[in-house]
Amino acid sequence: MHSGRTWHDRHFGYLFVLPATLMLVAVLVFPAFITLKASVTPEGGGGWHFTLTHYVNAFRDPVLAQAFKNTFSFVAWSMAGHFALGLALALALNQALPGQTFFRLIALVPWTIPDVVAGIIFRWVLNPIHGALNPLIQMVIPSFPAEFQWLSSPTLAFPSVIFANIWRGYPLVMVMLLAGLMAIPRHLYEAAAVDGAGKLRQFWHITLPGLSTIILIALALDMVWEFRRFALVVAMTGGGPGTLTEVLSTLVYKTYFQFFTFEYASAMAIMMSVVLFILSLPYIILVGRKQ
Amino acid sequence: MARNIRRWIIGTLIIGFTVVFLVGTAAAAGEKVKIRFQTWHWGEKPVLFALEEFQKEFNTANPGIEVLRDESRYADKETVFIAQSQAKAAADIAHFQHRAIPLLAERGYLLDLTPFIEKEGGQKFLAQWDQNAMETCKYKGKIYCLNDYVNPLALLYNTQHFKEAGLDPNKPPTTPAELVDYAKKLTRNGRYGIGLIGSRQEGLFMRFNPFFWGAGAEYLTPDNKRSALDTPEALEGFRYYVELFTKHKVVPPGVIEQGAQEVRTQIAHEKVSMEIGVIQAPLIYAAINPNFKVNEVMAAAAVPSGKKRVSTVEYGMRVISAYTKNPEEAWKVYKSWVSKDVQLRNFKIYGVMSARLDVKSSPEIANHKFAKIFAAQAPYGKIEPLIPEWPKIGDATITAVQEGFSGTKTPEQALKDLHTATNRALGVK
Amino acid sequence: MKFSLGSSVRNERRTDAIVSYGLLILSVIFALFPIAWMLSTSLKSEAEALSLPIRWIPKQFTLQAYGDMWTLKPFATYFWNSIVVSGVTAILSTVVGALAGYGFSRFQFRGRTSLLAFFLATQMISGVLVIGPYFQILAALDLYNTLTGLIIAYVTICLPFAAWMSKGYFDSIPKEMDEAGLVDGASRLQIFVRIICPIAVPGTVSTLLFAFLLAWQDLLWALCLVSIDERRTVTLGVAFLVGEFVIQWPMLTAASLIGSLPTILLYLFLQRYYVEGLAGGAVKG
Repeated sequence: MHSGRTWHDRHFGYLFVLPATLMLVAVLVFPAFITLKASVTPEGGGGWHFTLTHYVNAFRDPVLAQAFKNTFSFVAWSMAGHFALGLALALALNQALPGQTFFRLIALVPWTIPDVVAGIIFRWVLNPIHGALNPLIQMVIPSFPAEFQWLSSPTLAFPSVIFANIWRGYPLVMVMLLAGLMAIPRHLYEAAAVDGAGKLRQFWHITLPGLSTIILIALALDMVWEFRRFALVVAMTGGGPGTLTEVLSTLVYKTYFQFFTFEYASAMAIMMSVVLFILSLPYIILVGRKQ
Repeated sequence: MARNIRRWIIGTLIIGFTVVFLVGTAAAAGEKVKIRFQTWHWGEKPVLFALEEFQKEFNTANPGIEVLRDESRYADKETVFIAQSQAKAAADIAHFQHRAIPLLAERGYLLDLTPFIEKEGGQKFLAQWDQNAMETCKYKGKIYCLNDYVNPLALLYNTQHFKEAGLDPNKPPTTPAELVDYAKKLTRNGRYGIGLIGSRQEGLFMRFNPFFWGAGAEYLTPDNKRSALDTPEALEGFRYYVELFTKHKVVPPGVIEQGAQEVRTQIAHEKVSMEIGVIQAPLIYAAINPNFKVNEVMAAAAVPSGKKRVSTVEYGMRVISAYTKNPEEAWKVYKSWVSKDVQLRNFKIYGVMSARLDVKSSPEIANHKFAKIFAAQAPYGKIEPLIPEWPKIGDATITAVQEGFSGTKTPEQALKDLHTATNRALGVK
Repeated sequence: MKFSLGSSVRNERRTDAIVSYGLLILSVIFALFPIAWMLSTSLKSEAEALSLPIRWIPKQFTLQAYGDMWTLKPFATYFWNSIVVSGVTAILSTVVGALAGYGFSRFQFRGRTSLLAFFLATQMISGVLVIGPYFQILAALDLYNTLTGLIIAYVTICLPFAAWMSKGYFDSIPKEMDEAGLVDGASRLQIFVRIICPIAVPGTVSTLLFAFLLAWQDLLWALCLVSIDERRTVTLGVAFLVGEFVIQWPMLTAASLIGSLPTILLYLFLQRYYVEGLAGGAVKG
């Protein structure tokens, strides 16, 4: 017998979550099942024959393996960048400084530019012949090569894409962290100052614990979305040079809409979802435990 | 009480919005049959003018049918059609390049036009079109389209730059070796000899293929079942394209980011002296840089492909969706678009070359400075293998070329991996 | 006890301010340099936008693109569509998400954790594979080429985020408030609307902004579900400026910049509630 579960609990709970659940099932779950079915159907459709060849081929596919590697790297670096920048800015914006609103608005702007536009613009700006970045660097460092390659360079292409993604995505994390910071009562800091604690100790013992939940939420949500980041990468590099910036979402898109191999694409997407789900299990457990 | 009223108001507003939009999009039950004419060209001048002319003319002449403007996006043209076909709500007439035809037909998205063609006179009707072109419209015994335009590639070069480099503008390069030689001489004063495509688009292998095929190589064995990329000819052709950038340095930096449009911009701003381009290129140069005297300065010639005289050709065609609710009316619109008058007008407005024999051989083309060179390339035009696996192979080819350009792999290694990838795509064990 | 700030604390505060300002100014440069290029391009003619060598300051300033947006292309229609779609998406997803979040927060029903996991799992379904089947549903309901079709898709995608965020916020509101209402004889729904919602409004603002932006910026769904100009969104309109032969840079950049204004205005308007809301929603969650 579970304590605390009244008749009320059971029934009203369902009522409140019903509209959202219905929408999710109607719009997303039905296609998810179609995807699952497609992933075990032979290429070209065909009724109720089942086969695991797509999954077998997927395990052997070097491009898919590269995409997985790239995606993990992409997501990890993006999350780190979002978090570092978001936290630094949130800390700076949490002070009662003049011009605060202005700085907050400016910091928000990258988020308001759609993915696809950000990708197009960055691609153009980084171009060796037509781009605006190289001349700008040259003004500061005259010895910088005029036609320096960013996205065409095997070493700099991926960092460039990650840079663009950090630029585009830090505001959301910043805003969430800023709110978290504002909720920490000031008197805790003042009391600690009286006790002789320095800035660093205050940060470690007051700020971070107070922010722990929101950091967890922000990172988890960021992880899920960056896994699905698509338009930015396509617009910037199309996955190149070669396969160096190919991520899972761009590969699935290509396999589906350009190669017309719907079934294989479905298998890849299922694999991607499973991996993502496993990665978010810790968070689901932690949040489920609260309240 | 007030809260209740507020709730009701919000609820009504939300429902109201929904109703307004549902009603607003319910089409008036008119007698006109609406045919969705889908192409990405609705957004591109000057093609737009040709489309609008056609729309106006057809709608006036056929009061019971209305041609509707349906815009797709060049980068996502297949995406939109696939998604809509899966819901059996695709545009009645759509626009594709030849590579998509086997794929769309295989999935059953296209209407077989054979019955309509039979009614028009069968073989005699078909004979009006370039027969090489028509091959791209056939798949597994059915005919899915009638060709719209032909896009062969030619070498476009800046005669002014030639003169400045001490080269004879009337003697363009005729072999790959000459091309390298000329390009090296033209690479001076911040300019580069030739602009190439290295970005992930179909245009890449369209520029790559003449040198590849010209060296005597083929992508696949004659039965289209295995890769033929392990031949010395394949290596020669592959190497040649890659080394233009890596070894001879006659191509501007950032080649992997260069698409067709970037190369045309480079020509228009005289950053490069040569490119391998399409027949619309001269018009586009003028649009990019109005100060660039295209007609005086640019000239066209055959692509110096190598041992075999060959050029890439791309075909454009319209198709009718298998899910159209008005096949008869769609066919009427279709037939009108591929008719002689419309095709000739299209050439006059946006310079595209028709696949109709009577238009191809018209005096307008024969006397046009650029068009006549391009028309002369058409007989040597070759296309990639027309198989459903081609997009994967083409994509892997782009990857291999990019790996060669960026130095991630040597040309030998890149080609070897491409050979493996091609066999994998074909299901060869 | 009288407590006065020593000079060391004052110095510390000044260092804080200097460091913060330094960081903020760097952040402004970082955030704005691509925007600056976009602004520069939007003030050029099409020919100059493509000219070499690159010029940051246009040789000939022109507001042509800002005018053409409205006259040559129907961006007014696009803006109307985007505002309606994003606005309704924001409101609907917040409301439905809040209902679900409240349910998760207050009721210990069977399958609760699994349902929470399900809500998150739906975020991992790739959009590419959902579009075809979703389109089938829309076509069957004759909702193709309607804003409603778009709204339903966007709301559904935003729901898990909305539910999780609002759950976190509701968790921080003491259960005693609910119980007080129950004692007074109110029904569960009445408690939700009359007691909890007014306190929770700040908490829903983060969801509003997130949902607004998601709907505004989406390309793939809008591309497939809408094929006529009258129903196009701003993001779609901008993407269409990239064609086979031409990219209309000045108009592209001008429209994108104007397109970010609604969100900035929304943020300004919601700022007071917004930041407070996130504070309650996530910290205690």
